[in-house]
Amino acid sequence: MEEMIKSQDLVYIYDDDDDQTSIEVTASGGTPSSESNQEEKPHALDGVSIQVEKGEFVVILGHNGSGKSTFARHINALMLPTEGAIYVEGMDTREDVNIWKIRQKAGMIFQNPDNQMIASIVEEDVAFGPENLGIAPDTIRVNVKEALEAVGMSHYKNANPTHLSGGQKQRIAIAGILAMKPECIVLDEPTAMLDPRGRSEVMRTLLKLNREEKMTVVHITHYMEEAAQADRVIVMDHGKVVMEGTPREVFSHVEELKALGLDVPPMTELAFRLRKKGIDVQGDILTVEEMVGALCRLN
Amino acid sequence: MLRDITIGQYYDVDSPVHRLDPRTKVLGTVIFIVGLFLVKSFLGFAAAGICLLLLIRCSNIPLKFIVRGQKSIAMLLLFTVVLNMFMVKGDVLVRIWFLKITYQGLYTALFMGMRLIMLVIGCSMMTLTTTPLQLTDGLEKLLRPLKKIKVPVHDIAMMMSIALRFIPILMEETDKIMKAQSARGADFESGSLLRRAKSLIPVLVPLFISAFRRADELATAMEARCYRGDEGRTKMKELKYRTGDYVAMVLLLLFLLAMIFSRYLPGVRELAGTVLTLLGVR
Repeated sequence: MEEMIKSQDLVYIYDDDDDQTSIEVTASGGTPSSESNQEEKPHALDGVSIQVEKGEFVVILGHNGSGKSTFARHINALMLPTEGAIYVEGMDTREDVNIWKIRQKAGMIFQNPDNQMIASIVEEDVAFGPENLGIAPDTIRVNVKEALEAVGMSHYKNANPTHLSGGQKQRIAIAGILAMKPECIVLDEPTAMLDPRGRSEVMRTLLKLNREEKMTVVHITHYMEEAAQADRVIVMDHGKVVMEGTPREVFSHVEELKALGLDVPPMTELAFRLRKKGIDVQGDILTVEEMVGALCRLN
Repeated sequence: MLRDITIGQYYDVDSPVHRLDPRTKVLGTVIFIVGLFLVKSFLGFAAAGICLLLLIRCSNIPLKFIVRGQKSIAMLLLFTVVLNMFMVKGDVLVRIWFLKITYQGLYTALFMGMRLIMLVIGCSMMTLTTTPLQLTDGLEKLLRPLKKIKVPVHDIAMMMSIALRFIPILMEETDKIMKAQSARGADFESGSLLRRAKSLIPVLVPLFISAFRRADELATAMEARCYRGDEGRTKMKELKYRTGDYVAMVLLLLFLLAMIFSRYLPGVRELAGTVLTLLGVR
């Protein structure tokens, strides 16, 4: 398989103050520095090497401040690496000539659905991206129509986003990215501000895009049920990748995940507790159906 | 209550007015405003009012909806009318203590009131029938010549459309913050004017902080969607003048002429009189 995104030893350090950064850079170069300084200027990303294949559905987990959002912003060249490099379809984000191409290839969705909509009409908002790319008006129309169909929002093309639900707004935002014909969608906690229904709407849309249109999806989330549906889960902590694998592999490490301040899907948790009590449920359980199966096999 | 304000809100129906080119509507609004300031007689106002009613009729927007939208300017209107009524000097009609209502004052107050109402309705007709993006597109195109003298026309248009998009959101947010503060015992309704103004500070501060945060996030999101100013940017909906626009232009011109005529009618009559007498003398 071809790779979509590849990061090599990505390091990112926030620099509010230029002088302090230079100290930090030497510090990361190996010179020992004081503890307090280290704590003041932590590495938001500390040697992250991640590869995402084309057509993959990857979920990145991690508690607040683990560097997952910072990583997402690197994919889109909204942030540039302090050290190391990240490539999107082989294009280096550090090179200015690539920026717009990268942003078109790897579209990005943010947490707050209200704060990423420019227009007061759904259709015009979806057209914003392709308009920026300088696509011909007729082609834009086709793209917008297809994008709205893909997220199931064609009926709302003339609606005002203010009157839509959170899940619907987030689907419009996804359509706005789709209209730019990307290869990959990066979502930075798109479900964090939504109710359960909105969450499942967004998740269903993403899975459909991934399965039917072979869209590469990098999904950052707090919700373990969402992570359970991915092809691969990457767990980050303190700017480092600490775990990586299929949901089954990752969620079998219940104790490690808890130590990182993360949960596991409810059924995995239940299986874990049952095992602790001496009831031997078989296998790595992620869903209710699997739980039911495992429990029935007990008798 | 805060969401009732109709300025800057698009009313989604189909009508000949909605279908007009935004440039026509912007020009039309300007002409209407100029017309309103030209008018100096009740007859003129009546004519302008009838034109406005006809326009509303054509736009398929319920009159009730528009009237409800005017609630927000009621205070301003009352203030203007009352101020004019008492402040203008002239022949005294009624005297209450030291306050005098003069004939001229009443006259001016009525004129000002009517002018203000029609002004606001006229402007909201533009925003009700035009989507904000169309509107800013129209303005951008109309003001394009200014680009030659380095006026950032596109940037201004973009700022306007974003402002319009965020007005309802910030309104809602103000509402929420006020409720949250009230729940913690803040009092916005009682006390002197100064006290009430002061009590708004705990509302304004979080509102501003949130607005800045939103602006920051929006800027990032726009950048992520390849926004880089107007270089190489295309439009999905390109502006084109159609037959309806030409008809509207002609009607607007007629309206403007009528308004000019109504203002200078006495003058015209006088002129005609002088000419006639002159002719008669000859």
